[in-house]
Amino acid sequence: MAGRWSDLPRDLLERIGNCLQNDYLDILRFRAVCSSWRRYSSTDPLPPMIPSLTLPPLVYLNDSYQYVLKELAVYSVQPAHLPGTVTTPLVLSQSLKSQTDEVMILKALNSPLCIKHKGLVFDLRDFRVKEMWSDYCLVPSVLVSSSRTLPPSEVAVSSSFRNICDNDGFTVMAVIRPCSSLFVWTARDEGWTIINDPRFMFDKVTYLNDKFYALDGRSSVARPPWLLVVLKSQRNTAGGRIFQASSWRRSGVASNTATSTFFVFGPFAALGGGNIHPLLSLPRSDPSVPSLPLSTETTLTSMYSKSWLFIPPNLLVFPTPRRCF
Amino acid sequence: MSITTENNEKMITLMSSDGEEFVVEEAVAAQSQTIKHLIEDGCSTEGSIPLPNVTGRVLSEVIQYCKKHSSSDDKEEKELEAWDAEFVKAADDHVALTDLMMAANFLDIKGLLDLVAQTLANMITGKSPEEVRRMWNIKNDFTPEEAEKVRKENQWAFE
Repeated sequence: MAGRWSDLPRDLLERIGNCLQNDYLDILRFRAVCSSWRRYSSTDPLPPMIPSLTLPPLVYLNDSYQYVLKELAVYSVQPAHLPGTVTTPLVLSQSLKSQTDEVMILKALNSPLCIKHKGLVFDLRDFRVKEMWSDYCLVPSVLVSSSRTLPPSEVAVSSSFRNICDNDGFTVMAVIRPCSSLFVWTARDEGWTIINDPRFMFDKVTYLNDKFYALDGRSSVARPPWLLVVLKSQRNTAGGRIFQASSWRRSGVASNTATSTFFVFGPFAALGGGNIHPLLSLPRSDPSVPSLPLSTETTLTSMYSKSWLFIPPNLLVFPTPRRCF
Repeated sequence: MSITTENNEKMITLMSSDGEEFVVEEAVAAQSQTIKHLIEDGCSTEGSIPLPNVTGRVLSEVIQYCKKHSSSDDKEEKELEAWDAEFVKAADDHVALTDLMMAANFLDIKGLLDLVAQTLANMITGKSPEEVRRMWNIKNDFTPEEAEKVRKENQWAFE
């Protein structure tokens, strides 16, 4: 009695298809199963627009830089020929259709799969793909001439992009390397606020449980690297926001079991021979992301830029997919 | 055959396609718009209501759902959600769920229909098309032209 799908009348199949409506990737897959499923789903699913926001010019070393804040989706991607528990997270931007009618990944950051397959096309049908959470990045605005390269940046935001109009004080905090200051912009501010604290050289930022955190990446013999600084928002007399360092620690894990978010920093032994790596993990709340206590069995894997992600012991980093394109 | 219980609940009898009879309160059975209309049309006054499209196994599941949903009020929404989740889990696989969906459709029980559709959709989510085909025993029947379009839709390139 296996496989009763053919018994399902068209309207019921459509009903199942409609339940997938919010996920572009799921619709693509639904349409890739067979010709009738293809007919029953929406005729031509358009990839979602990449949510983005042009930020005010950011002035640094007498130069003015224009960045666009973009939302990225983090997907768990695994080859379909491997058993079900193996996974590798990837940070990919929301897809966008190019002129050649191919779906492009705008930015596939530093993960094992991406490095191996840079410049190659991969076929979604050969993978299990699941959206995990959203992340954000700063990209140079296209309005700026491309002759000048923008310095690398890290960014954290205070709430979901989609709530930006809710007057919730949507705030962006960025680190522009090699500058050791923090740049802060709150929705409707005309420009960026610069935070300079002579005690710290900020290198990374994240946002967790209503607070911004910045990491001091400076390293010296007398001072181990990676100091966590909790930044507290206060209102100044003019009604604006100022951020002050309220506390700092050398290492630790902060987790919020209610939202399943966690944040790790400090020197830890990581996968691959006990190297000491600075860690910073900033997944956003998602029930499928486990909130774990740190243990020796927890494998840590490189995810994107210099950030790291917890992989629970039962999940593995998969080897290079057999099929290449 | 219409009987009445001690607390004056009107009972009706439903008969599955394989001849199994279920005696349920009218309020429970009326969760199904189809049965409700049959009752209104006077089809239940004599004998049982025959449901030729629903087997006894599926009907007992449907009745279980209707009983739960007719006895709960809005305050218990959270508890009801948890119950629903357990209910579809107990249905076990996509074959049983497909049967359940067909029954929910025939009996016109919107809540159950939505619940099962979402559960089936969740089973597709994240799987590769080939896995979905294997699971549902579906033939890959694309014409070469269609297959080419599908391939293009699913090509992702790294910059």
